[in-house]
Amino acid sequence: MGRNGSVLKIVRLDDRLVHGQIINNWCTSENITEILVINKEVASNDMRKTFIQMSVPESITILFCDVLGALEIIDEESEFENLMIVFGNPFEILEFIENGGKLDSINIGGMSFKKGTKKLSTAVYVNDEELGILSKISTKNIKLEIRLLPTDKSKKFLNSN
Amino acid sequence: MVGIIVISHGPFSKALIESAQMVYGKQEKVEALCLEAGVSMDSLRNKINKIITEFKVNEVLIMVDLLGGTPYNASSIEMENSNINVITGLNMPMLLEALLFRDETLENISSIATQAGRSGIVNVKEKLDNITGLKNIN
Repeated sequence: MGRNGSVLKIVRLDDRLVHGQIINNWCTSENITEILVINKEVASNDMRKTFIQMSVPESITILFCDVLGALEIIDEESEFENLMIVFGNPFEILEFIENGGKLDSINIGGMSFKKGTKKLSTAVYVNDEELGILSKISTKNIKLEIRLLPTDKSKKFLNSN
Repeated sequence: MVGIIVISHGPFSKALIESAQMVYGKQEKVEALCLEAGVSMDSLRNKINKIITEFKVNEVLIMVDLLGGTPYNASSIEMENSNINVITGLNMPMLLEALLFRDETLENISSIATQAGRSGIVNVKEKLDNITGLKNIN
């Protein structure tokens, strides 16, 4: 649940960004009306934005921002919308927090296999650098869970309670 | 000849090609890609590009299971190349029809396959009721 009565429903870390699991499962189960994708790479690629936009149902608004752009609009967006935030990597989550963004919990839903990563769950693989960043995030009083789908069992991650 | 790549979450696409070949026999330049959990979009894109190169054709049609899924996200990026198109909502009528029109242009085969995919979906009870309803009027 969000802070101060706002409706920030869920914050997800998923390097596939917006895809079937998010639209068909999370948005329905949490009654999401707006998705904020915080990812500099995609926010600056018009073609990718258009293709993602095309795939989102008309009932859901989708916005793309880099971290600083997101910080400017987030209070207003979470006041009026049932908001879901999607990050594509842990680095931008840390950047978001270090620049004053407030998060209570993060759902880790997808980190693809790459060279040098170790497996945390079926669809979550991290390398040492990413693990370091996630550990750092977990020390900031933010709960981390690994869960692909709303119906999956939530698995606590790192020191989170 | 237009090359065809069929991409799905899990084994659907591979099995669909096998099913289609039961109807039309062995087909050339038709490949399946099955997305498994934990596979990145970049890795899927690499596989798509490898198949496209191996096809040695001018045009490629990519059929994906879901609008908005990772197969869609990965293959739509490839449309930066105008000789590649993507259609979504993969089904058997779509693939079967496309296999009959491989020598059409990419634009034509795309539209033929999309149309076949749609018209292959029928609520039989509803259609039956419409037909028998019409007969009763007559």
